[in-house]
Amino acid sequence: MSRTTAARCLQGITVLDFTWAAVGPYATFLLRALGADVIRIESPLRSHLRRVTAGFYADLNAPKTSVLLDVTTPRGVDLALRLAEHADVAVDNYRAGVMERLGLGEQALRARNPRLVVVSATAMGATGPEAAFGGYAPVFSALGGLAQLTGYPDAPPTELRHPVDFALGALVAAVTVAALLRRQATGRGTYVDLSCREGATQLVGESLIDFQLTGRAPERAGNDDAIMAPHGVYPARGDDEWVSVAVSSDEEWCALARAIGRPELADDPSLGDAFLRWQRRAELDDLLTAWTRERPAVEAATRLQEAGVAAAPSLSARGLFEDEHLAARRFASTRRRGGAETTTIGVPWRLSGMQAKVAAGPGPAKARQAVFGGLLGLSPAEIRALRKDGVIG
Amino acid sequence: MSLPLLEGYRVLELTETPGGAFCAKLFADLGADVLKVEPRDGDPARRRGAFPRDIPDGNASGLFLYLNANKRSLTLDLAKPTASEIATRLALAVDVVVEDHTPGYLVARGLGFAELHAANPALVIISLTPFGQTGPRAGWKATPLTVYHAGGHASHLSPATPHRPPVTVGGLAGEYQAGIVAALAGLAALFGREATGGQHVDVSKQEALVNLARSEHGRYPNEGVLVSRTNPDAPFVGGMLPCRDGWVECVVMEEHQWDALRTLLGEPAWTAQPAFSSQPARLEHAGELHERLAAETRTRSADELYERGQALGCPIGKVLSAPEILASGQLRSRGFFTAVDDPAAGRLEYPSVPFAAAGETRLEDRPAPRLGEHTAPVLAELGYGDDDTAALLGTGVV
Amino acid sequence: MAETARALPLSGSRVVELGTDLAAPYCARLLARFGADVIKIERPPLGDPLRRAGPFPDGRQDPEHGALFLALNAGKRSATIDVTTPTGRGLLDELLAKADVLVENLPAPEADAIGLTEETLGARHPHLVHVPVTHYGRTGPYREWRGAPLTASAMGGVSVGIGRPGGRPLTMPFSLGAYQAGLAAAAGAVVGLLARRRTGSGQTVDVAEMQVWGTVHTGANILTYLYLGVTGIRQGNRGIGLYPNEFLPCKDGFICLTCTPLHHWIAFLDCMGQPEWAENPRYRNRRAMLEEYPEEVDALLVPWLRGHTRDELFAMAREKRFPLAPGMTVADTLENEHLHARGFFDELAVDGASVRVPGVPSRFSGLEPEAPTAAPSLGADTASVVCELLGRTPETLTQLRRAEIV
Repeated sequence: MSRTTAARCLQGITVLDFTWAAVGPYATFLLRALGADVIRIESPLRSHLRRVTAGFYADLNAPKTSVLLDVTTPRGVDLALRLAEHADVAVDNYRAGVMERLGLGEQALRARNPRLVVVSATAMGATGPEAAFGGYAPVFSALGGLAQLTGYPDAPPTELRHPVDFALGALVAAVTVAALLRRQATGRGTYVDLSCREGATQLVGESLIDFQLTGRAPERAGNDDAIMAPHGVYPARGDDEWVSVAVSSDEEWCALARAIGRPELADDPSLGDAFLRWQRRAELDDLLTAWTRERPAVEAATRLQEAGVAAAPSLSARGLFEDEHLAARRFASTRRRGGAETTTIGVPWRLSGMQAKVAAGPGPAKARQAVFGGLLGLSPAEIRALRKDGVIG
Repeated sequence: MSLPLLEGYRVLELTETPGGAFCAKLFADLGADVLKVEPRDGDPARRRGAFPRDIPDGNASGLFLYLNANKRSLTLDLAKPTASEIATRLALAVDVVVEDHTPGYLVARGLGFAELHAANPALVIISLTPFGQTGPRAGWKATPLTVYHAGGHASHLSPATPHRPPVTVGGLAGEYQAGIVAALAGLAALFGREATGGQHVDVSKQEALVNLARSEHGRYPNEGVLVSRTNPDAPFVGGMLPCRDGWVECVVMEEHQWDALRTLLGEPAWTAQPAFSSQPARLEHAGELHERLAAETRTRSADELYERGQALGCPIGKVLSAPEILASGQLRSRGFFTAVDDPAAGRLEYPSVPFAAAGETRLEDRPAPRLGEHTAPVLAELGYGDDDTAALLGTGVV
Repeated sequence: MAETARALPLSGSRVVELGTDLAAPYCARLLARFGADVIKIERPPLGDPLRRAGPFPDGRQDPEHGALFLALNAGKRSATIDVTTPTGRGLLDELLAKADVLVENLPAPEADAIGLTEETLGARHPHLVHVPVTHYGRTGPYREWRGAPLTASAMGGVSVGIGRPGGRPLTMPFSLGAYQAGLAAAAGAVVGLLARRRTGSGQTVDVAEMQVWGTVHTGANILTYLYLGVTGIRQGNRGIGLYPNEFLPCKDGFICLTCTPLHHWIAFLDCMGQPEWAENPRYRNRRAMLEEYPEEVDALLVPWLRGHTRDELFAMAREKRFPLAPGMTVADTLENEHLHARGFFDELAVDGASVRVPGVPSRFSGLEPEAPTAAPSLGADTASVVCELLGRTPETLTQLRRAEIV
């Protein structure tokens, strides 16, 4: 299997990307990484956000074919609808109703192309009494139940940011591919109305079941586990360096006791089962801390792993880029252009033989020509006129 | 809970972690026929709870029910050669295998990608493991806690407790996030398999998590900025604010959102100070602003702040707990919950898929399977006769 | 229930059962039926393997409805405690402090490991009557051997006497050894309790199934060997001594005919319409008939027997006063008027239906014990045992459950 074939699972699929902020751009980034052609429609709407999140913006959108198209004008809308005729997928994540007001709602798009898969990701979903409410990851993580369960029991709920946006972006991409698979069977596209708030709830779904079974609402537990002890994150040598450790069996406890030079604890019947250890977890945390703080996090984790105990450094961004395992898997790549180096994190999967990095998209002129000349068949004169009138960039 | 987008596809699930089960759950919730293979003493999630009235019951564990509704269960003792043979026959009858065992585990049982792919060239195998199939730590042990911390999110997750140990995300959300990424890659491989053939999809949970924070992490090598709990570097103000009866989360990125927040709070005089007059100024004084906002919100109710704030155009949300989510009118009006009568746990409302698809009718939901509930029918589908099945049961293979 | 329960012979006694399979649970089942509060400790998560042994209603495996389990565990409480963990061992220890009898059948090394030995229990719980009921007992060179009813029957020297002449030895059917051992254990438990009233302390009553079989070799077998050098001889379904003493077929099953005294034999021949055979030396010398040509005589009897049903033959035998018993099937036993009249069967309420299981072997004058409660579902009484009896809080119980200790 050659690298190129493996890299192109979604080869031949054209995605119209109307997205902004984080959920949508990451979804289309992933579709691009899987081989789709992504035409990113940049519009004057919310364009200022690009400035506050410049690195972020470039990272997610560089691999796409980006064109500037003013969808607040009738001619811009018409061009967007014509592009929809040539596309397989359209993705947006505006607040419910925004695309409709522009004339680019799912009905308008699908009227042009019944095979089109339209995926709208909104904070609340497109229906219901709160459909018009808006929000970013911290807001829908709060509403979804994730914030309530994250953090220490004696501290406030924890705000969750981009990682939740991106997880939902991955979900948007996954549903998009599922809808494409469905189209293979039925010949029809569909319109997917995805609620980010519901998606956040899906990430803690068992808490709803647990509540119904016990009558108790699950609470924040820090790094504690309901069963395992030791189970936590312990300081390692250095500033803000940490190692996570989880002991899930009697055998692992004995192995840990020996690994930290306290073999007598392995034979101590008063620590001989999960219940006893859990009851004395604070004491065990102190014992383990005395050992972890004497050595670097990676060394501590490695020693415990050699003994058969689950442990891993709690990595910062610096730790990630210094991590030999991630480096061996080439999780990121560095490109030198001129004197500058740019490091890009690759894709979170390996398909048999595929490279873990995503190629950059074309520059503005090439993109404009490919989309408006190539796809829509506009003449150079037409393109010039549209640019002169500010409809396209 | 499920939509028929993947109707007609079959998935073999060989998992033992929440991440693997969640990945397969996405397939089940999208209408695929998911055959979950469990060891004879059952999936570990069956022992995790919570349980009705706290009484352990392998068929009524909340975690198991959540992750496995709409799937079928068969038991196979993969340590036995005959079981490997059955698993191989199953793998030839499905489109996708989802597995999360330590690399090498399936290879040792004749169920590696090379063998299965040779027999079924269209097969997609999704391997979702803590550290991936390759690299020096591929064989490391892990739990949801250690994987999450290896993924780097915790380093900047909890600015409210900057000096305590980095904290893990709530519940098993880290596992599930990795499960979504794995499902996406697997679905794409399935979509492309006519052109590319079946593929082995190697997803490391660690890398999946790293990728979901790529924007934060990427700033370190490129800008020298280490996003951390002491330097959260959020491009907005507001944040987690106390109120009379709980917490609200407010995100102000744009001028009109600030105006809405001021209106919501009754335009207190301090908001007119120069330190808060523009978004860059507000970001510069984010700590002070947070304290002033907290003083305002503390006297108000979460409902008032949420309903009025959103009506004014301020992105604000209440921090909801499980019972509050179950009571949400917005979620109820969207039909987000589906009631399933479970034979062991009774009638339960499950969170559904977080989306609807036009023209597709939701499938009738099935309760999570009892251990080995479908062993006999699945063996019959594979062509095993009643006598064979009885012998396999009797010898403990299934 | 309280009034009646107080009237039962073992009312007020508490028995802890760490039993699996047949013998120990049968012993505790009898003690429960006699009024003891039996707490069956099962190992989480699956409990007594007998729960999964069936037979099951409609053949569908269901650990709460295995027939054998229901029959052997009626009237008990069930608490799941993993006694191999230190915490579980601690809970067991507290429970034993509040118990009168411990019935268990752990393999010797496991019993040793958790301190269920004569020495340890004698020191920690001197009041306790400890009844291990195992295949080979807790002392002697075989104490750690594994066994089954088949091997205990063979090692006990019983199998060699079962089977057709010249054929292979057979085991006792219906796992009979386990029930014999259970009976012996129940007797031992009660004897231990009686002794405690006198001495004030309990003891270990160590029952070995192999030894139980050994007791069958009383009189004839051992003495025949010592005097005549003859070992157990397989005789098929014939008795020894005089003809007829055997099972024979009839129209609808089997009857057992044991007309060894001459007047019984003559009565039978009269009934058969062949009184003159009794005058023929060949059919009068019943020792020769049994030892030299039993098949020849069988062949003369069977055509006539086949012409009559069990009930007809039984009626004739009662009228003519010779010993003949119908061979009962399980269905016959269940409907047997005699056993019903003696109140033998326990009717258990299982899922709203009534299930009839064997009761106890004896009838106690002056009391009519109520039918016992059905067998407990796995861990049904864990909460009451851990919280009420052992005084743990509900929160501790939840944590014990999470840790899979209870």
